[in-house]
Amino acid sequence: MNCPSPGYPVLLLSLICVTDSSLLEPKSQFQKSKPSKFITGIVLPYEWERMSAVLCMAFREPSMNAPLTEGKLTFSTKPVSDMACE
Amino acid sequence: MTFHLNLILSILTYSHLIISVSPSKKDALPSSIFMPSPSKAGSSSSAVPLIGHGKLAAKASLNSDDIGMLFAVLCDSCTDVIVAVRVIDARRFNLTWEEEALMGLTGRPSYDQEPGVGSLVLVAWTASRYEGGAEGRVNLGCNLNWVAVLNDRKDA
Repeated sequence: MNCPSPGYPVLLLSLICVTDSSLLEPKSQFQKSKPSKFITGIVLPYEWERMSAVLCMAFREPSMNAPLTEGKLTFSTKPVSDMACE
Repeated sequence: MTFHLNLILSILTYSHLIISVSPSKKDALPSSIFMPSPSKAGSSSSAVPLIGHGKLAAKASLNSDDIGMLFAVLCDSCTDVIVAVRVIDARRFNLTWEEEALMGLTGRPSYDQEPGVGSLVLVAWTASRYEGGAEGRVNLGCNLNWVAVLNDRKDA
């Protein structure tokens, strides 16, 4: 597999088992945070280990902090106040 | 990651999709996502756009190239647009073509509902790097682009 050139957009696919979802209406994930649309779920076994290895390599970082709590990963849009569409 | 992608694409190839897109993105869609409507005899006929309730709905059996193009078009400029794609296996639900078309036209029941807890969902996302916190730590952002509900627990 050839590595794309820097700046090339890459879309990642992950299968998750849903634990929380707010896709239709924006909601605050944390106190004082701006509302956003999000979905939270548990990834497949070893999925996170593969993801972290690839992402740290892609961003050339030795380590990164991620929204991973109790094996659950949250995917969210930008806060509603910054929305450019809709 | 490659293994999962191939697995997922094989699932999607043999499934039917109902796609909901926000009106602001409607003009950017390629005509090829308006999939041909199969006749009862099984032969293909002219493309039929399915539009209902202010949303664009298309119904299709897509191959991997179509899905790749769909990702590229729908997620190119705005991460705030969520495109919910409902994957329906016609064999599992034993639906006729007319019943499936009705679901697309009326916008029910799939993408107007939140996936239930325990649902199996395919998430398409982009990663971003940003620095935050008092210590200037490097954080990973998981930007949501696209959701496909593969197995909704609300159906059970």
